[in-house]
Amino acid sequence: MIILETQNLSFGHDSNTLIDNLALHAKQGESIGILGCNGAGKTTLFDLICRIKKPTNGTIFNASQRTAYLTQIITPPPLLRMHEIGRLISSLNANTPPSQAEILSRLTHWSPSLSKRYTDISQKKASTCSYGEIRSFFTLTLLLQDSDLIILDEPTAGVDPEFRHFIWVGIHNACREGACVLVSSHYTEEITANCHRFYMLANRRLEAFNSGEEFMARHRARSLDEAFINASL
Amino acid sequence: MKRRSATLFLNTNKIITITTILITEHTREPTALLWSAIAPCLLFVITTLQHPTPDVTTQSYGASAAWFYSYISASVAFFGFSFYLIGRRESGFVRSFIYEHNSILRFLLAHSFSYSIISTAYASLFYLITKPFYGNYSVVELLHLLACFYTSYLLFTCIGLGIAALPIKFSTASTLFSLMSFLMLISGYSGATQSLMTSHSLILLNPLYLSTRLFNNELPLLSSFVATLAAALSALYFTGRYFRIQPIWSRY
Repeated sequence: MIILETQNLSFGHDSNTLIDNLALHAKQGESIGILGCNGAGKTTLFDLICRIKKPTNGTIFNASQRTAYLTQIITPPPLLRMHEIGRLISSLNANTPPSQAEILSRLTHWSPSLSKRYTDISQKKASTCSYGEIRSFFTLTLLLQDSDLIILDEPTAGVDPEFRHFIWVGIHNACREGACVLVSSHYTEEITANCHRFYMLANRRLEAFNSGEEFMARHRARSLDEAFINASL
Repeated sequence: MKRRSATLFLNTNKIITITTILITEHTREPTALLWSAIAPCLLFVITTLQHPTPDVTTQSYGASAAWFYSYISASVAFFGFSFYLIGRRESGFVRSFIYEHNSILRFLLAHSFSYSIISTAYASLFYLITKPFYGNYSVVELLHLLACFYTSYLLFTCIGLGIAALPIKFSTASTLFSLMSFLMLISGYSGATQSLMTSHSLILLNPLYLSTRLFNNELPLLSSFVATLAAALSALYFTGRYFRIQPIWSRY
């Protein structure tokens, strides 16, 4: 079932068009990658989907009951413990905020090591958490809510391999349980390896790909990064 | 009907949870406790001990403590209530978690409740510490002072919400609130030390002075409360309606 679809989506300021005529669709249970260089318009696209910005043209069909959105830069309230911040986020966003026991039970089902890591971070004050801990905690907290469309803006940027692994474990399991996850990144390899499909946003346009091989073939490249560079030029 | 009741109950629960977390966060901020709660108490005690007054009536306490209560209400409204809104926006927290209509509504209600409780707690603490220098505690007197205090607090939240609506960064907001507090104190001090004629026009513009008039029974409490409540609710409504989601530093 299609949960999100955009048609002829455009946005710009005055005469400066940032994104033009975008077409995107996403189904329940899919993880969709959005690749694009800095300033390509990935965040703008997500803001449009979440209605934080209004498109200058085109339509957005969002059939999700609940959309969750993790933006790139967030500084958590430093004096709160992470589990308190988790409860705050759930009370603000979730239809029915899950209890800590429900969260941990679901996480244990996903991965016992992930559950243990999440529990450890939950007890820490935000001011003492590392960037990776904060990023993975926020991502997992959003994935554990009752959202059926989850938008993650570069959740793995600047995060070490261990927390990147945990973030992707969370994304895979949320999709398995029926959520649709839209995730942006600069890392072509992790997108092609982990997402069902992906789009490349470059030069104001969105190009759809089903695999890394298709991406490299269409941009006449021998590596994914080369394809990324060629697509961005 | 059952479904509506369940939604109402769930929303009430969420607002209570958010309020509790916001109060917890505030109580962990030692600087806020020091400047808004402890410092006014200490200053009042020191000045009272240095200049003891034989008149220990209720009117005398109200007149002596009016500036202190006004300062506490301004301090919590500016550096707590309004500054927090700017801080959460500039940290990117609002952009990620408080951008939908329902989330904004829940957040603003919980935020208002939490700072109403915090400010009232500070005023009560001030009363409990300072009143013994002016006779025995009185519940009626405390309730009257709290009513004056909350009216004053609502007045300052209107100003604070106006500043929070401006497209200013966290550091600029900090400077602006500090500057406003300083100007209000200076204006109040000059009003108290100079003759009424010379300072009259200047001091009338000072919201801190207006607030002290409430405590001195120079303004009608009930109508002042109704007016400030209406103004504060309107300011809150417009804050929610035109809620600033994007941090000012952000290119988005």
